[in-house]
Amino acid sequence: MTDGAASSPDSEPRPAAGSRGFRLRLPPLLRYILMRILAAVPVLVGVTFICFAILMAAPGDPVRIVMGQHYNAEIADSLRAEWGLDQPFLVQYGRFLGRVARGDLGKSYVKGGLDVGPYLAVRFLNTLLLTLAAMLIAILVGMVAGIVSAARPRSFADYALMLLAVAGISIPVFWLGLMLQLVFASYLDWLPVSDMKSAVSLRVLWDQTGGNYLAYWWQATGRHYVLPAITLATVPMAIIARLTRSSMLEVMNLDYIRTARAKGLSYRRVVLVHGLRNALIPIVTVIGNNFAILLTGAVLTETVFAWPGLGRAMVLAINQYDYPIVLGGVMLMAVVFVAVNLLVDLTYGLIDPRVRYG
Amino acid sequence: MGETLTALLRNRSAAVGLVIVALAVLIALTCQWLAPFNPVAQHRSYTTAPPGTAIAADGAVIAGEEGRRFVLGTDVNGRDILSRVLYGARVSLLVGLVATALNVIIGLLIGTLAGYFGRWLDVVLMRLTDTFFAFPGMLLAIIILATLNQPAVREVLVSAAGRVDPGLWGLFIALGLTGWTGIARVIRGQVLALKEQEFIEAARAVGCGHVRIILVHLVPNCLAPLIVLGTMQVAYNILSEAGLSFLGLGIQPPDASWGGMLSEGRPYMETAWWWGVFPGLALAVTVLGFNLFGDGLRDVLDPRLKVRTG
Repeated sequence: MTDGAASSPDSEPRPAAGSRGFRLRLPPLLRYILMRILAAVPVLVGVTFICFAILMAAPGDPVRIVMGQHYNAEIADSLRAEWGLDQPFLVQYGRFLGRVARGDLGKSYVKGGLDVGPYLAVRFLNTLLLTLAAMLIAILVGMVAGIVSAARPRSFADYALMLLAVAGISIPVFWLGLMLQLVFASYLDWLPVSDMKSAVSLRVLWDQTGGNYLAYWWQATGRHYVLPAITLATVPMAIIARLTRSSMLEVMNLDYIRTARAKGLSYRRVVLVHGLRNALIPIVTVIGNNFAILLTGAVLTETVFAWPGLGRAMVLAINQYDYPIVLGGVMLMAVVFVAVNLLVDLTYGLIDPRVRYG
Repeated sequence: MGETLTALLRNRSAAVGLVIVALAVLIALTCQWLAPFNPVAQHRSYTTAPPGTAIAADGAVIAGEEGRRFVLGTDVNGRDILSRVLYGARVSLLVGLVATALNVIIGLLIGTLAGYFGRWLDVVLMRLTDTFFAFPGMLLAIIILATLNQPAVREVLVSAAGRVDPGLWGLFIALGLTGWTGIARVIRGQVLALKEQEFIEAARAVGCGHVRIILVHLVPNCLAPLIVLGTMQVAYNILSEAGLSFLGLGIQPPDASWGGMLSEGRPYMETAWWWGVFPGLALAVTVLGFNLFGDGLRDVLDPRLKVRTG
């Protein structure tokens, strides 16, 4: 890199900045982040608009459904006015955007006027914890499998691992969850089927475990994570393994790997240090994508394990015509999706110093 | 073409995948003859019968069924699991193929238009693609399906579709409208690279219009990635259909679908494991077949896609 403009941030011509009128002077990285956030705004507006349009196009009347048997025309009219459903479509959408811009996601139609923001935040936290556990498993197992495969291509281990990996992307996660429940919860009785609630109260549990915090944590929380986390980890694990293998194989054919081998480094060192580091960018991309997908799309796993997460909250809200929760959740998921993708792009610079943001 | 075919058959994963896919298609086409029982017939005296149970003389619903076995058992309504699994193949493949066809059409249209015309159209179409991409996968399909499942919409669909199950229509639309973003992006990239090449310039020089250039010169050159991505998309759409039916949004009982059977059988997992195990197995094997076939196709037709498909 001998390019002066790239190596020193100060080399940007100052006069040009002034002559073009207003121009924010920020470090390139900060400006890049800011630009990305600005570019995300139309996507967020688009996502909520599509969602809003579909919900409004539906002929069903949420007021009628929410009130059910207790339908009363007068109360219904006042509810419609309160929720803004008597306004034209664009006015409703504009009001929604206005509220979101002020950080207010509105109140639930169904859950007794519950504030949507805090409700979704709690649900999202549950999903986040489960996703972190799952991604940890997926990254560890997936990358090790991929590296082992790539180190000895066309060996028995390679074929076996890659067959497992293609099975991993083919297996329906909710069925895998059911099978794990059947084996490990119903027959072997090692782990709980679902439900974060324990049969005994936490106080009793604390006494039972004799104040051993680790045992207490395992009984109260930890063991509930095992089956859903494994279930959720399967698909990303398989994808990471496949991509690690193909990305490593591509790199391992390059000249500098041969050089490293030629100067007498061990095969292990060449694979793990020289190969892996340079194969990492596509792997990080796919890890980021899958992290975002799990955070926003774990509907099925959460349903199977009765996990009180965002996905399940969304399905419930859609079935109950609880539009504020649906819209707020879609908004939240889109924000998470955009944020994770931005983080992924930022880690490129950490992995590969040649990457520049501008 | 012959060369490609030979390479494909020599590729182990493609060959295995092709056999599984062909078998699944065969079952879907012939399930009315293959199935030992009517998939919705309820054998009241044989509810949750374990696999291999034979029908006694007095338990038959239809004359002549005496002595026949429920090879994979029955569900809580006394319906034969094997017959339902066989009929489920029809739903899965139909939804997988039709939804993928829609994905390919939309993706191809958006990808070629954005890549070929560029400028503002590219910006607009790619923003649209980003927007659909940012929608968490199944959620958009769930919202669309929930809307389509409302009684008033179902009536319209039924009157428009005639004999086709409105649940199927909903699945076609919901999955068809959501899975095209990856295809659009790859095609756009392909077109961007192709349109600078000399044969396109030559075509323009001899007076080809835009439509002709796109249809005759660009699209055929996009076929390789399109076939690979399409095959993998079928696997994805089959899984999504099962997931949506599992959530109760897709095919409605008593019609047989693998996802629906899993959802119905779930509460009986401990007492009637066969109800939940076999449809899931059928689903996993079918999807595996499409994925293996897709892998093989990719290695033969367009190895560069490895970066995208893992």
